[in-house]
Amino acid sequence: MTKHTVRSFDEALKRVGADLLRMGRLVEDELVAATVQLDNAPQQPALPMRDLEDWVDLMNEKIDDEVQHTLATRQPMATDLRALVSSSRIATEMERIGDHAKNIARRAAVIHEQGAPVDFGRVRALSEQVQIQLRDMLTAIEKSDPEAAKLIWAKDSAIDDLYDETFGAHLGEICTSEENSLSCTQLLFIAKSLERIGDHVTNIAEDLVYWCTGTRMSKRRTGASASQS
Amino acid sequence: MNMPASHPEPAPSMTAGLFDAANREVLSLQHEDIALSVEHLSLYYGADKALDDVSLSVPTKRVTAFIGPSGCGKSTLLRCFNRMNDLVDSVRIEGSIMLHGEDVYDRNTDVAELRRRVGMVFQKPNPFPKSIYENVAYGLRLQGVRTRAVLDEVVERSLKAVGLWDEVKDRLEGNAFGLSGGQQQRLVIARAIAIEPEVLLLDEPTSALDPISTAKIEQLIDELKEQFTILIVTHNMQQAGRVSDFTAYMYLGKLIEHADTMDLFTNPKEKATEDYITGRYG
Repeated sequence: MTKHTVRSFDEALKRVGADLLRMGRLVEDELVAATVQLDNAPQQPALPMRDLEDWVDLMNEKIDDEVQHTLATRQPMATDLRALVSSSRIATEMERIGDHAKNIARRAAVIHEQGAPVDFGRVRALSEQVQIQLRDMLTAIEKSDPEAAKLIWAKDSAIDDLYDETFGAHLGEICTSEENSLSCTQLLFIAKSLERIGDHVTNIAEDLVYWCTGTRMSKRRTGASASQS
Repeated sequence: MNMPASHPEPAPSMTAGLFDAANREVLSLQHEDIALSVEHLSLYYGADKALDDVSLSVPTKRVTAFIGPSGCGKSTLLRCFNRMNDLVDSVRIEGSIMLHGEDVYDRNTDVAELRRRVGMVFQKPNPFPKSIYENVAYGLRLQGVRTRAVLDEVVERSLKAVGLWDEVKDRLEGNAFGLSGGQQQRLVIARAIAIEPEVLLLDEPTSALDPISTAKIEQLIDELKEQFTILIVTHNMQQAGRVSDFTAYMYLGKLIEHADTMDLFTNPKEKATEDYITGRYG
């Protein structure tokens, strides 16, 4: 795209874009760190969860400040306006993904404390699918690729299906095994958090499509999860 | 706060507005009553082509903004609508402009009557060296209105319409030059609307005004479009975005894009428009 007459405007937009990707990578690390806890012998993540949370919050505030400052001083139009507004929205979605990752790690810790034998296989598989979606989404943002975003958006139904399956299986365990009922309840919440992360990724996909094309995607997707509440 | 035990489906009347807001209908010229219709208009100053094959429709009782870099022809186009360009010796015009179906450039057109129907306000406020009252009554007096009661009524109505009445009602006989720049510009607009034109041409009406006076003029434009078709030339794109329903982007005498304002400023169809409004120009 042609450069702005005022170079510092280009620099401001580049800065927001770079910070958004940096925040996305931190959120991805948060999700990976939370997933590490979904194991019977969890390992210490490379960066403590609390540090990642703080970084994500800081990046969210930084992007918010940069967007506000650029809106106030540049009065952007068209693609620049869409880029800034979408960046702000995407940062909010990312921050919420981080919150869900934090909840997943917290609930996994509770399960470990309870000490009941638990099969983490299903939620770990769900988490791996969600991680792929998030990683692909960050690549789509990096490449400003609306077509990739649309594909990611469409793939969320597979996550919904996997969530339904996971939900049904652990609900069954709650009913049949008194020993595992508390832990399985935690697993249900973990599965729900992962499903919600998938939804946030689809929201990001919609924002990226609007950012790149100026057109909005339909909010209705067929085959939404039967277990969604 | 107590939550209700159940959440009944909202009544259709409660959701209708939300649905409309989410699905804002983009204004389309095809559904508008057209006040001015321009067909293949070209204008030459001597050998220089200032307007190049411009065609557009200006909808009735809407605000149409003209934007573009200096020298793109937007003020020249505005001056075609009330034949102000006739005052320039070397001007030659091709194509046509119809005002509600009547040819503006027909040889039988009464230019004075045309300028009554198509009023104009310029960048710099230009009150006459007369009293506030006489400035507003001027057009009516030209039309031969002598009845004081009629003049009084029109002066009061026009000054109220531009939000100036309360500020000047006790000094109507005072000289118009005693008003501030913003007040003078509103007085000039009052003078223009006193003779009940169909169209108002505003050529950068706020570029010489402070932000508060500018806001008052913008509010006025919002109110006046209930009665008049308004065309505004502005270098301030945010102003075009705020006050207009349709925006036309011009470049080198050509009309590049003419669309619903919100659409043009958020998702322009032409790259040239996008480059200009995002500051990727020159």
